[in-house]
This record gives sequence, structure tokens and C-alpha cells, in this order.
Amino acid sequence: MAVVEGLTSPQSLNEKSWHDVVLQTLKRNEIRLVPYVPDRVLTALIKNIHADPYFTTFPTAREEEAVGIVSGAWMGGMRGAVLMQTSGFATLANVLASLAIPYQIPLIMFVSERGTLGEFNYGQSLVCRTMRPVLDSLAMEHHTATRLDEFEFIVDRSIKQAITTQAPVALILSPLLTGGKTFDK
Amino acid sequence: MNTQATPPARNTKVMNRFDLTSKLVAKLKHEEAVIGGIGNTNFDLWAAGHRPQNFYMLGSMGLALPIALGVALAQPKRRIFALEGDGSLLMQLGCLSTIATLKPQNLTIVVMDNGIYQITGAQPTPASGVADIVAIAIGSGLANSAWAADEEDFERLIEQSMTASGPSQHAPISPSMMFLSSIMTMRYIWNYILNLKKIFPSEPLTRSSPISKPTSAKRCRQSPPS
Repeated sequence: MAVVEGLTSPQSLNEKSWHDVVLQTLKRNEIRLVPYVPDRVLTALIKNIHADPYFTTFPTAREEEAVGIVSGAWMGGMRGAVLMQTSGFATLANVLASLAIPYQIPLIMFVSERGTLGEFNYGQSLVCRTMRPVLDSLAMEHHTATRLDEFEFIVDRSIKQAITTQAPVALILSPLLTGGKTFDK
Repeated sequence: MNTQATPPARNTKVMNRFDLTSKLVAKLKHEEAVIGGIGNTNFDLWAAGHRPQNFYMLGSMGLALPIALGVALAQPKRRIFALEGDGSLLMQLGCLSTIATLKPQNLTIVVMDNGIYQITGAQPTPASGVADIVAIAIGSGLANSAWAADEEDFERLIEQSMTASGPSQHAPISPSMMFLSSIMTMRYIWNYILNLKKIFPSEPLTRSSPISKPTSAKRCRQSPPS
């Protein structure tokens, strides 16, 4: 649980991409189980996690299924994180309020943010507006990552806080960080 | 449920859910974990005699199997039982394919299929008259799925699953198993309500040491939080 050193020097991170940061920070914090529902923005991260034998990673049919799996794994002594996109998060209010929070599961969620900063899908832009109000109404810890130079600090500290306080956390990956999904092709 | 299905020895006998749950719990000698789904499955699990390895799921309907899968992945040497209802399973049918893909050797799934949402007033499920849950399970990739014909068959299937694989055994049968039983239970409803107070004790939840790495099998909570 050592705190990451040198996070205040952005130049040390210049060579990493945001998804490298996620993968390495998961490893450093012994998070091996990564179920996900895919997102275009998460493609490289998912591919790299699959390629790394350290991780047990697989797709699930629904986001709440993935939440259930990492919750059970936590009870069994294995740490996990869930990858999803904004519209997937919108399906989670019940499971957050009835499983993750009351049973004190350190549920770590990486949410690729759709619906803002150039969204072309009207539905995504609408459902995106529910995400932070839901997180706030449940008084859940959440951060929106927009800058690569502070990203590792946010991810590492948030994971540690989730585990030590046994409380869920949502890390929202802004298009400012990831580039987002565009309608170019 | 699907009474029109032709072969005998399927779900033709109506059994008692609490009786079957008790029969299952009586067979647990190796600290097997049991995940009870929402409602009557976990009420029965409690009523059959509390064990520290039991988990009583509260409100996340449909997630008993995913939670059990998570425990099974985290503790591959421990046998895990998931108790789920048919209505709950209908909410999360996709998890059957996830389990079939991951093939955990130590997971046994028991679905109590009464065709109704008993706890909300016994309304029929949308599947009750038309769908065959064992066929759904097989179609989802869980080839080793079967109806329990009667209580004796249920016990046989449970024992078979417990010897199917384990820390040192590798029996040549497929890993994930599903045994379904046609159930009708009515007489325990008041016990459930009384037991609810025991499931959610008034004393504060004791947390484990926050920094410690949760490795031990005893990580399974002894009781849900209040």
C-alpha cells in the first residue's frame, strides 16, 4: 500500500498513456480481477489487461453482474475493479445502494465518460446527466480524471481509500483524458 | 413450472424449499460458502441454521450467482453454493453464460423454481408458463444442468457436485452444475419475518483491520451490516 512517489513531477509520466497508468496502478494495488462491459474508449486498456497474465479479466453481460462478481471476490479475499461506460453506470443505482454500500464493498469503477465534450448520440448525452447526481445522492466518492499528469495520483489514492475505508469509488475518465469517442468514422 | 414438458423425472414433483435447503446445509462439512439470493432463498438459508460461511444477499436481485462466481474465483479450493430463485435468475440470465465461459470447478448453482414472485404476493413470473430454466441453462453453456426429480435426487445431485472437483480431485465431469427444483413453500413465511431481525443485528458491524490484505477464508462476513 505504498503511496506512489514522484507524482508531482509530470515529466515522469509523459511516456505513459492513461491506460498504462490504469493497468500499472491496478497491479501495484494487487487488483487482479477485472470484469467489464466494453467501451470503445476502453479498447486499448481491455486489450492490454487481457494480454497480461496477472489479471483475471472477462466481459459480463451487464454492469451489475460485474459488480456482483467483484463483490463476491472481495468477500473471498480477491480485489477487483469494473470497467464500463456512462450508460452502463446508469444501470447501477440499485446495486450500489443495496450491495456495494451497505455491505461495505470497496467497489472500484472506471467509467469511460460518454455524453459530453463532443457527444453525437443524444441518448448518451442525456443519460450522462444522471451519473454525478446518482453518485452524489449516494454520497459516493467520485473523481473525474481530465489530466494525465494527475491521473496516477487520483487512481492510486482512490483505490487505496476505497480499500481502507471499505467504500466504493467511481473514477470517471473524461474525454479530456482519453480523447473520448468521436463520430469520425 | 413447465408442466407440459414431456420427459418424466423432471420438475414434476413439488418439493419444499426449506426442506431442501436444510438437506443441503446438513451436507456441508468443509466450510463450503453458501450465497443466498434475495428473499426466500436467503431466509431459508438462515432458518436452516446460520453458518459463518453464509452470505445473505439484501436487495440486488439477480446477483446471487455473480457474487458466488466472484467467491469461487477468489477461493478456488472452497466449494461455493449459490441459492437462487427463478424470478431472480430471470433478471440476470446473462450471468449463466459468464459462468459457463469461466468454468469455475467449485461452483454449484441451485435454483428454486416455483414460477412465482412469492415474496411480493405470488404473482406468476413471465417465464412461468412458457420457459424451461434448465433448457435456458443448457443453452447458456451450462451443459451439466438438470432438474431434481425429488428430494432423494436433489441430495444425490448435491453430493455429486461436491465430489465433482475439489482441491485434490479432478473428476471428469463439467464444472458448473445447476440443479433445479420445483418448489412450493408457504408455511415458513412468519419465520422469515422473525429471522429478519436476526439477519440484521442491531449491533454495529465490526470491520476487519482496514489495511490488512483480505486473504483468509474467514473473510466471508459473519453477518450483514445493520
